[in-house]
Amino acid sequence: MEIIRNLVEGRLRTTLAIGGVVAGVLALTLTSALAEHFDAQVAGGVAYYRSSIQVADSAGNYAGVISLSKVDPIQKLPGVAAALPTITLLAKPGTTAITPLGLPDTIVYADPRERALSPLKTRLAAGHPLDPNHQGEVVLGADLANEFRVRVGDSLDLPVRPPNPNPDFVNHTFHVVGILQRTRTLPDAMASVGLLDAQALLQESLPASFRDRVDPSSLASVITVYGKRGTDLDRLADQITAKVAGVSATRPSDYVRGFDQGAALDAVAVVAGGLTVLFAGLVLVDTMLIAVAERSREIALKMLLGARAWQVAAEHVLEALLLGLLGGLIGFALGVGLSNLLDLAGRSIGMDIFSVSDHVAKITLGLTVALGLAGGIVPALRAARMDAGLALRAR
Amino acid sequence: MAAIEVRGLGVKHRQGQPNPVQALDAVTLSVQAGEFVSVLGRAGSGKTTLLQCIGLVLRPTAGMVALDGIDTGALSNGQRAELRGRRVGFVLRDRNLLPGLTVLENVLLPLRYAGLAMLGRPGRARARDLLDLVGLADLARARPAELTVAQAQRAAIARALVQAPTLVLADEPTGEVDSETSDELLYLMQQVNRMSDVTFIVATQDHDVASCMDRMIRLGDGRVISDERMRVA
Repeated sequence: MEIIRNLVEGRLRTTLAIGGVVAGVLALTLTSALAEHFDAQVAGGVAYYRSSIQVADSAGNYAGVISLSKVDPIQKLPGVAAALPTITLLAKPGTTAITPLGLPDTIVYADPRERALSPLKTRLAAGHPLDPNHQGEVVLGADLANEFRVRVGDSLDLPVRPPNPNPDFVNHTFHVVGILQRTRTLPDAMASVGLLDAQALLQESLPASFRDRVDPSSLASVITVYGKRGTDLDRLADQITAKVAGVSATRPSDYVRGFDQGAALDAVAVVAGGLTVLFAGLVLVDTMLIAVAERSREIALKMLLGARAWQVAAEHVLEALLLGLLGGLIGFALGVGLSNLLDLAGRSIGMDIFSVSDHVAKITLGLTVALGLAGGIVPALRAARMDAGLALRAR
Repeated sequence: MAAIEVRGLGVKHRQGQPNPVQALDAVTLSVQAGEFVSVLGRAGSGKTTLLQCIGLVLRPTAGMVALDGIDTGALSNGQRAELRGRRVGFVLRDRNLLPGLTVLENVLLPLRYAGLAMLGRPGRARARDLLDLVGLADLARARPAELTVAQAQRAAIARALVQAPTLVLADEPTGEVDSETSDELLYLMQQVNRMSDVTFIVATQDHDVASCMDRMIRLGDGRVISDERMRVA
């Protein structure tokens, strides 16, 4: 009760202390949520690209297209479990291929056999899977469904018409048959279509001079190769490049290395969050030290009345803990609210970049308690070591 | 057995630094239980330092203090705090009360630090009885800022008695009040002393105040100048 009264009566000091903690925890919540989001994305990308080999054309044909005639010779190589055509196209051509704070929106065809081989597992949140016997169907990732504001049963034109399309730009209307549960990684930004639709879209994305010379049914963007259990995928990639003419297989380790940049961004975000928390901790320590200095006579009086050093220390730790918790809860609530608001505002442009998970909540609130304790201990020790006689003499 | 036994007490402030101050020098005295004693001296004579040594707030640099036969020199800080909390009540010259607490909560403070077992209904009942005794029953819920100086001193006397101490140390309790209020406060302390047999040691610069008590100990430059019995206790 006394602590609460102290907080209420020292409004300016309380406001400053709580404000400092709020600012620190708010920043920590946002940066942690950002890091969590990137972590999930990077983890998904690493898992996918580490488990497969991406084989592209190297024979001088049009970039981003490989002939399906390469599937058989790859499949026959020892160590190959499956060589499957994959088609990937930008869902919003004319925009940058890599969204700075998110995943690029893509139209994807993945062979149904890949479901068993890929580590990226998806589940439907609504609707049903693609029917191989039907064209014009699409299953959307959670972010894409939000971004395009569509539900199962709605229609969607893909690719999305850019503001200034080329004269030969073509898109098609797709029927949304399913929406995936959120995965926080690659599938969230994918629009999955059937093979024939994907091949048609791939052909239409090519320059007119090249488009008419190819048979769409023979096209894929890449061939995704899965190795048999125990196969060294880097070595298998080298073998594919060496033994199959006109293709280039990227080593999985090279792909995974590309994600290090994401991890570095992640680390920067966490360090920035950590620094703000450190700052908040210093504000708390400073405020409590001022409180101890202001209350030196009160503390001495308490000691005179029989308070032991640990009782005086405990009162100050408890006060700092309360300040830390109050600031922490407000900061966390503001952080969650702000990240939701920013995500909501950014969803229409594919900037859904915060992920406040249980993990983030536990870390943030745990740090808040630690902050309160750490912020209280130094002032509490100073209070406990106070020379009561000297403090009482001071007038 | 004396309630307080002080032998060869010495306190040197700023020891080891330039210009150390000998606040107390070879003070020896003995106070029996239930005595009403004044310690008279000018500012800087060592009154407060003597009270702080007897009240176990300050560790002397020489000599010993025994309370109810317990040599306090060997006690740890925690043990000294516990003994102080249970056996010694304090009344200071001013700013006796914690501004964040009500008068009743201030009176209950020594019980809070003595242990939760002493809080609760019996403790609150005792605190209310004491507030009634000092004439502040109606102001139990008031905050210190709402009290006059005299009322605050009365509340401090109630607080000094709440844990049923054997000794009350009052450091210039009348130093900030007019003579009429001073007389009232002294009368109150005398009444309590007579009723409960609690030993009182009152430090003062005022000869008239000191002469109201059973015994007068004069201090000068940290030494006992005289020790007179004014009347039989």
